[in-house]
Amino acid sequence: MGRPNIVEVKNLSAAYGQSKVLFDVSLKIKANERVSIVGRNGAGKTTLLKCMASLLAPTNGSVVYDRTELVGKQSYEVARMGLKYIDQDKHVFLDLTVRENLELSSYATGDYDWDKVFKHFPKLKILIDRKGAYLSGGERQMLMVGRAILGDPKVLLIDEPTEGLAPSIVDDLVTTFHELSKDCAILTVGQNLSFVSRIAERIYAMKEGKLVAEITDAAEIKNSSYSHYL
Amino acid sequence: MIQMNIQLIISAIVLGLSMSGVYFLLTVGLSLCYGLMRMISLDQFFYYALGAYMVYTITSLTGSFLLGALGAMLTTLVVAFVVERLINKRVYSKPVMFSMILTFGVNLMGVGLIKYVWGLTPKPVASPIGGSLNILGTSVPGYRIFVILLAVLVYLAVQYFLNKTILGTAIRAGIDDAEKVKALGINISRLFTVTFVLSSVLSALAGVIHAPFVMVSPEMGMSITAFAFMVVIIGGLGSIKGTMVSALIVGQVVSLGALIWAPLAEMAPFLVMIFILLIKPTGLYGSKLMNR
Repeated sequence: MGRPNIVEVKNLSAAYGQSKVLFDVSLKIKANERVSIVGRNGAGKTTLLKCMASLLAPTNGSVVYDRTELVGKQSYEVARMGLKYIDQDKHVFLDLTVRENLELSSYATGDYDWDKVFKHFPKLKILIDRKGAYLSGGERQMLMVGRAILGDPKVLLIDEPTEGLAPSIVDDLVTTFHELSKDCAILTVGQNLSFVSRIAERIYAMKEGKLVAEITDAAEIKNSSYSHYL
Repeated sequence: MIQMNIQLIISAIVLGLSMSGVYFLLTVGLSLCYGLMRMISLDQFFYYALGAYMVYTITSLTGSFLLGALGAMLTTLVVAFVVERLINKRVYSKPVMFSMILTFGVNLMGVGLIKYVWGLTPKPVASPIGGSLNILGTSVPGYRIFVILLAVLVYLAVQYFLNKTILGTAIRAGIDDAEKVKALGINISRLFTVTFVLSSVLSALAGVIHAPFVMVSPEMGMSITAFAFMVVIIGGLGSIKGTMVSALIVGQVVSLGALIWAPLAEMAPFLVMIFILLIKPTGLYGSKLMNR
């Protein structure tokens, strides 16, 4: 028996003012699945993730997470329910230390078990009293994911996780995401084909606000044969 | 002659410090509201006046300034909570001009209400602390020293709250980026309410401690507006430390300026503000990050 769907997006459309950016997007993510969305800049990838996380209200359609409709809910409610969004700008709270960043997430979720964070990102334990402003891009990405896994989310939506990161850190992220997917589904969006090929079990291609292809064949994913969508 | 000058200077410094205390209490809320909600909360001047009137009324009825101060802060807490929930929360996501216009309206309504309830005649509030302190041969009123100490105490308490409590940490994070705080799973709307109510209670406390220095009048909030904005702008919007340092500067510039040449008391703070903004447009402790 296959894994159940944890997220089901149906006919989702979105717009910024008069400008429509998403058109009838439908997709599914299974529990503990690693899915990637690829597409050029402006294809609507980030908008889709923001709609799923309730950070942007869609104009039409639905997002069902764990049998609950998310459209109309506040983003903080969605995060508490276990669907977390990690932004592409590697923004941690600059004036807050790593400890304070984690404390905030613990406060929001009631989960104070930081061992699981340090298990995946042992470096954060060393940097615990360092302010966000003094972390490198890779360290910020670790902290953002570390913050997000508190509260045992079932889905992580991660926007451009490798942008601006050194290849060695990207390698570490691949391992970490594989580990994390034992506990939750991961949906990443991006254009780093090497990264996508190494983590994704399934790929959606987006173009001009629409999903134009679904790639499920492992060989196709490994060979990056979907690169023409970028 | 020299002795008299020293006495005048000491008196002016103490007067300036006590004014700094009032400015700080009034502007810390403005700064917090802008920092977190990106809102220019002009209704803080109403809470300042309301605090002064409530301390006048309760002190007159009970004879206890302490009860008056507590009653003033409690009343303001309730009024600010209602205003925030019913009115202000509707403009948080809108450009800052909306909050300015809306809260200016609340301020005007508040002043009208004060005029209706207490009338137009200014009211006196007796100083709760008599006696004086001798500093280098200069007699300094005890109440002024009390105001200075209270402002320092409130500054330390606000710093403790922001830096050592989880709610304060969340507010600091929200000042950096409120959207990201929501994405963590924190109800930012509740945080806005807490910040607004706390700011308003501090504004009321400013009115309470200022009342014995001045005659309590409906327009007292309006008359301190320019100085309050100077403090916030010089210190840097959203910075508590900046607000404190700026309040100290403005307080001293006003009192020592008046000692040199009376019109300087009004002019000099503006000159200082222009000078600082030319060197550092974000204010002394303003952050370039606050561009949301």
